Amino acid sequence: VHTDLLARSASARLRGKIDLALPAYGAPLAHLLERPDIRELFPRCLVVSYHTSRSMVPLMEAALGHALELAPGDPVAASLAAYLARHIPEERHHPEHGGAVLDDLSALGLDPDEVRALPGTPQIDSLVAAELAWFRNDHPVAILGYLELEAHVADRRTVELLIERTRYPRAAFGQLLLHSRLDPVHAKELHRVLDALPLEEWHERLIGLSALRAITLITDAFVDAIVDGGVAAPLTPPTALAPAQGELTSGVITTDQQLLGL
Amino acid sequence: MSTESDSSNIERLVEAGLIDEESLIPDAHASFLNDDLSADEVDALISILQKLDKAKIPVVQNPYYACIPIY
Repeated sequence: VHTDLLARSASARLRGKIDLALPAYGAPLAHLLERPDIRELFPRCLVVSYHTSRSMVPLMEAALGHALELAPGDPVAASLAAYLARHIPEERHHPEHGGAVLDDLSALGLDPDEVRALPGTPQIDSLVAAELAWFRNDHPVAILGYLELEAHVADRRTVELLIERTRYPRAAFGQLLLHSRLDPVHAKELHRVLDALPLEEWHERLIGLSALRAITLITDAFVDAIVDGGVAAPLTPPTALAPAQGELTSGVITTDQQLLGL
Repeated sequence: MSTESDSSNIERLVEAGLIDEESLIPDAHASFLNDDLSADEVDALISILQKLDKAKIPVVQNPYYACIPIY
């Protein structure tokens, strides 16, 4: 039970809902870290990240468009539009949507064109469709539930453990390392926005449903990537890429226990 | 959104193992579950637990293990 529940702010109530789902949301990465075939599985998981990444800015732009339409008579939409107009540029990490994750996949030895040519991850397609339907039929504020996931990314120590276990070069973890630093900052700003918006109960229910649907579908996609390879199964695993030596850790962090803060 | 009664949300969450026994839920938390959580949200949570169980992937409690960043 999240102690902030008692604060009864919108962001606290949303975090309470997310807390219920975190044991499931964290499961794929925790399981991946224990798999002996992690070097084969990690690129397939990163393809799921790519499919999510390439849809995020267009999705936020769609929410912004709906919010601008509603803004003249809707204070929630007006404030949402102002927030999205600030946040969207912060999420443009590359000229191509998802391009920064493609760069990481390239560092794993995968051909970017082959990755681009893969079919979309079905769960991510479903999530995008659900969000667009909520924007259109309910309210674009649903996007804030999806963005709440920025508060629950792998932290730096976990990413370092992933680097150690996969023995892939650090260049393949550019987005993981970047988001371990940026997303907690973005999450604080999101919570400030949530608490400042004049949300009604139905807005909060919509945001909560969006957050939980995102967790469910993204977790589902990562499970498929781990169990059967997901849509990336046809890709040739980068077995030729030699394990990185001498760059597994900085030398400051030396054990799993330290990496996890145990 | 679903119109299932709020009280069934807690029962289903307890049954799915997402929260402790109903008798142990503080009043404030029970109010949160009853007032704010829709039956659709409960459905979404239970569905992913079933998916993980089928894949034999255990849930975790360590908040430092989050999902792979998505954008």
